Amino acid sequence: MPPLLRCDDLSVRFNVRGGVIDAVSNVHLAVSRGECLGVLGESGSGKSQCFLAIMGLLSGNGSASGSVSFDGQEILNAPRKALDRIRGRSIAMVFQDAMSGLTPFMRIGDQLTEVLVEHMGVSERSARKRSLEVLEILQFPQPTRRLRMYPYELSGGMRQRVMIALALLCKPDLIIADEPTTALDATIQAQVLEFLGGLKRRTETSIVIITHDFGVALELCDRVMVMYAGRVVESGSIADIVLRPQHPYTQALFQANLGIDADPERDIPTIPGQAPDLQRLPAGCAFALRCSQAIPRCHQLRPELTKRFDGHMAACFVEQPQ
Amino acid sequence: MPLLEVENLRVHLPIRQPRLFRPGTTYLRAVDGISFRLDAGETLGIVGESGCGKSTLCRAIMQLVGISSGKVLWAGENLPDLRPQEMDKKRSDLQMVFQDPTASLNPRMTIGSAIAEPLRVFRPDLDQRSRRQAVQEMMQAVGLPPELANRYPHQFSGGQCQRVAIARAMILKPKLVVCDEPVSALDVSTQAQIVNLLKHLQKNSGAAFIFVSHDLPAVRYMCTKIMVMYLGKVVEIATRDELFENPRHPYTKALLSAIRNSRQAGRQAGRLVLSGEMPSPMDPPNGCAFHTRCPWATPRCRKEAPLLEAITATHQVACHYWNDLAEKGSAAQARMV
Amino acid sequence: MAAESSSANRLGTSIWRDAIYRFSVNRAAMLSFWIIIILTGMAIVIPIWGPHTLDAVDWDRILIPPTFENQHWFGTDANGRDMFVRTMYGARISLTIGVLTTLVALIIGVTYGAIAGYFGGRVDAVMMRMIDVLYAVPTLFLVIILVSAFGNNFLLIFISIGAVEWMTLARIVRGQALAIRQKEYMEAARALGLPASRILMQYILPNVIGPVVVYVTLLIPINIIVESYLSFLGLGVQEPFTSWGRLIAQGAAEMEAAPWLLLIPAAFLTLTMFCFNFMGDGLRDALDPKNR
Repeated sequence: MPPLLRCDDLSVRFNVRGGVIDAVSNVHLAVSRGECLGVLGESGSGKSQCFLAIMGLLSGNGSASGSVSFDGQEILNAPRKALDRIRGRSIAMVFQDAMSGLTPFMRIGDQLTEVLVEHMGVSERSARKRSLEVLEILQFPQPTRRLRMYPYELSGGMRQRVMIALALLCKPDLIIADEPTTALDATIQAQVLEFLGGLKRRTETSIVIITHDFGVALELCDRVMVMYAGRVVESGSIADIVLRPQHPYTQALFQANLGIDADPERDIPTIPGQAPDLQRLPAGCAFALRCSQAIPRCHQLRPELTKRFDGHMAACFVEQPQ
Repeated sequence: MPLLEVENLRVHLPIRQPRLFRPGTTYLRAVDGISFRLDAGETLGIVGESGCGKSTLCRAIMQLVGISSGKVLWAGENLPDLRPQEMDKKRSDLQMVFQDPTASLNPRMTIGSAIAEPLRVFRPDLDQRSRRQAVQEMMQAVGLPPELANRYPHQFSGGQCQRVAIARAMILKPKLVVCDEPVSALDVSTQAQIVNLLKHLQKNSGAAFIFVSHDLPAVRYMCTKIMVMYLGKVVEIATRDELFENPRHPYTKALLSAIRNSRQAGRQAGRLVLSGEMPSPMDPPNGCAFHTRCPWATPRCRKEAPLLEAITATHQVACHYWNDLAEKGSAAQARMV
Repeated sequence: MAAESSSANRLGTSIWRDAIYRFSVNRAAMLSFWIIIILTGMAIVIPIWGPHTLDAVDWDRILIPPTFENQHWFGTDANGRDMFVRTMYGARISLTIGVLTTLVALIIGVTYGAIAGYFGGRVDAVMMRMIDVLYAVPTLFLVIILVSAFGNNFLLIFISIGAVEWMTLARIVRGQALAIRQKEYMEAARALGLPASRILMQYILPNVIGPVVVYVTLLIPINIIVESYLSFLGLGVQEPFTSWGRLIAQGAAEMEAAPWLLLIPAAFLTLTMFCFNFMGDGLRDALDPKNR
């Protein structure tokens, strides 16, 4: 069964003052039907740009290369018309900042019905009915009233759920959620995660969750891909990633995420230094300077992704305990 | 005498002015009766969702916003009674770190100059060289290379800007540092770095810290005492260990449940999920502010607002049923219809 | 959603240096800049070292069109005076008045607006209402009245124009100052107990300067035009001085017989206006933080 979404050698480059930024380099990924893929990384890792490129949403000074096929059809750099048929209908994206993802001067109801009328060609009335249905599924309090509101009248959590509703309207095959819970409080986050989990269990929708929070990945994802400085450094099933991480960055990220069970009297384990300047990447492994396990070879050559065990790849010269 | 004592503080912000057919101002009850004490060298964490009033509380303590009633006693003196000039003199002891690191720095000022600002105001006796030296020492203490002093904020990452803000706050060796969500805007690994830094600085300086966050784990690292806020009121206040081992208020239980389940390598086992959202502070519900989302609300909760009761010398809860709910908790999967 | 780069390892570039760079790669803006520089240079040099003096009368060549004879490249006017030199002389006056009146408006407007914006509340309300009242008076009439009352003193002209133009600048600055008050670094400044003077000078002014600079480059041509209105009406600079406005007025009178008398100063005025406008656009783009 071929994967629903498949990327081969995807690279994204930006032209800026002073040179170029390779935001994404040689990324391979695959998402099957009904699968939830987590893309883990921090800011500057390229995780968002990767999917913006897939959706054809890069900013003007960016260009993407490689191959992206969705349901057998090549979509990378496809003409706008072809992309418009797919975007919003078969692939939906939920953005991080819900305030800028929603049109500020249109009522929520209008924004929802617009998508349906455009993509499914249904009448206004059935579009409204379907919008209401979706809001109810998402457990919106007083959904009819919410439909008439403008985005600024809603709280952050509500707006995020409206974004999710927008994504769900046309029953897409794939939802890409970019940091869906980052701006939310803990209790609202729990609601959103519950909902996404339920969606996954009940339908065959594939989900891609882009996040820097291990906890979110743990909750929802079947497979995880860890990115650093524009490249994939590790990928595997969620259980393997957590129990047998093969890349020092994954290990460090997991430890920095822990929080509640660690001893509060000691320091939180952190990754020293900061994310690299993408315009001035060092020779060798991009993580080597911050890596506690680096060997001399790491500073000279860049490790390629190699198979560690079944279904698990990592890009590192250092062997880890299995 | 405690360093800081807040008594029944209320900050009601006028939102709408009276109009012809709608007399009476509408108030946003950001802080609605908060009391707590903080001793010298103590670390207090304030936890709550956005809109619960914790940021307004910080600003009320710092006298950056006017209060409606209640007291803010600093070493016995009520700060709101002071005139602005007198208050300004005390500011060397009372400093603040803000949420958005880059926004809290003047974009037209070098970071070295920003860190030196407090010195210019409170230590005019220092000449330029001593000032520069103090700035360099401070930069090293927060982990910034002193050569970067001539750069501008936009050239730094969020984490580095926050280090600058912390350096600026601590250069006068204040007695109290109020941190309003200092790490929320940062990446995960940067968060860890900054929390570690704050912890070290607190230990070395012996200053009292108030650490506000919506993220319980971060608060757990920093603070020995934690206060949970909801809709402008305190719902629970306890030592760190008491709060995590024995939460009594349903809201606290929900918060802990939300985190615990996220971070375990198994699937959730009976997570307590609250439905709905926090009501608007402009129109708080009658009775207990939390009853609209509480899985165990009774008619009494809808009518009567609970007061803070002491469970132990250091643990207080505002809930009618804190004792009855002791056995229930995160094990219960409860939703309100 | 453009990618960002951590530039902490680069040399310290202030907002200004960054803006200068971005301005310099804007071709229209740089071309305009150089044209103004050249024009200014000519305006200074030509009346001193030019082929003729301001009011030298060439009796044999009255009212001739542009020609190479006797170096009358722009022709002569009805009194036989060389148009090239006169146009350059007019450039002197017009540019000077444009810049100086703008300077006056700048100083008054920025101070007023910054104070109103910083204090806010009642102070702001009173100050702005005063401006509202003054706005109601038609500016051109005000200038005409002032000039008629106090005579055609060169100094007075540009003070009175400046005194009328400052109000819009004040509004801009006040709006910017109010917007900045909400920002966290302003709160941080208050939390430090900084005195008002320092906050105004170091925190507010440097951060409102952006739109002000842009507006100033647009205000200069406006003021040149205002002066030319005055001159057209006969209220501006008097003989022996001349400005583009006067030249245009005189040229308009002879429009059918000697169109170059009107077209040449008008062309220079238009060119100058374009250049300042392009520079203003370039500055706005260069200073826009979102483009960084």
